[in-house]
Amino acid sequence: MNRQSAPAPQKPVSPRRRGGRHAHRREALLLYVAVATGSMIGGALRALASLASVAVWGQGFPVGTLLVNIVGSFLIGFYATLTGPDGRVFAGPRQRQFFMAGFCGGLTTFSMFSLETLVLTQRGAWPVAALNVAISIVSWLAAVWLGHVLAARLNRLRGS
Amino acid sequence: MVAPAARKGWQAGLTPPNAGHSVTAGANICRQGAWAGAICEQESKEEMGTSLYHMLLVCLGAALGGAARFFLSGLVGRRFGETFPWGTMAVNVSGALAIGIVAGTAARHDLPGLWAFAVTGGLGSYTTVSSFSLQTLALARDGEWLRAGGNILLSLVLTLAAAAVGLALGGLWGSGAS
Repeated sequence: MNRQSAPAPQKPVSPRRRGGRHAHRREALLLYVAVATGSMIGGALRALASLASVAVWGQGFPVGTLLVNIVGSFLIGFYATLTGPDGRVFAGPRQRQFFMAGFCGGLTTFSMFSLETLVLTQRGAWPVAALNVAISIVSWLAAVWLGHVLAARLNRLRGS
Repeated sequence: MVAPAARKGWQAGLTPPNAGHSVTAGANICRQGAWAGAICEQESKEEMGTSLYHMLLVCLGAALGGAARFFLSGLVGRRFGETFPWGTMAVNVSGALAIGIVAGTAARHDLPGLWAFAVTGGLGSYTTVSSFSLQTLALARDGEWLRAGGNILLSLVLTLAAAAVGLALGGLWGSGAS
């Protein structure tokens, strides 16, 4: 943004000397730090959830991964609408990416879901694998929709 | 939440095809010997130290994986447009392929540290369900039902296929690898 308002340079100037470019880079770096931090917290919680799930429900069904994916979908749907253009809560871009791309992204996992589904098929548990896929896809989408609807309702409460 | 898990022992996740019954791959940040489906006891302080070390590896991997996802999904999104969530799809499919390869390698060579860093932490965080859900919902809300359905089907088919190919490359699919 700053780059556009700056006068066009007569000759190429090293990026470091241009305040706009420099501030832009600093902003981008801070955005990556925010995403990485959020992802670290989400990823650690996911690992703990998997361990707790094995301790509580055993190993027949990957409950932990299912739960974190549902919770993450709900949270991102809720937060995106609550802090969106019509939302009642303001959040800056860095804060939004910390929570959405960072925390929710790190908490949820598509690869582990695939791996666990394939391991089920390798065990010959095809019905359980199919059940995992069906339950997962339906519950993820239901969760993100529910989060969105609840936040939209909250947003409307403010306006009336 | 974690205390009972630590006392009862963390059980293995992914095991070689003919070795055990466990399935919860996400839980496997356990110490050596866990791959054969054995229950690993967490009795001595040394082992608690090992699990703490693995937790740190998970954190490190998760931070890197999240940043890599942010970079790649943004790059693909800018290049191919935002009307269809190609960025998230690219991340999830490449992550599924990689997790198959790394999981197969880590399980065959008994490398719990690699598992914690790259599988649970790195690739687990690199891929995402939350963005997939949010973008599918956005497509549906815009009345783009075909694109929403296509995103669901294509994501599921491609990621599962990629993970299967990855496991094959990692040597854990099909033939009774050990």
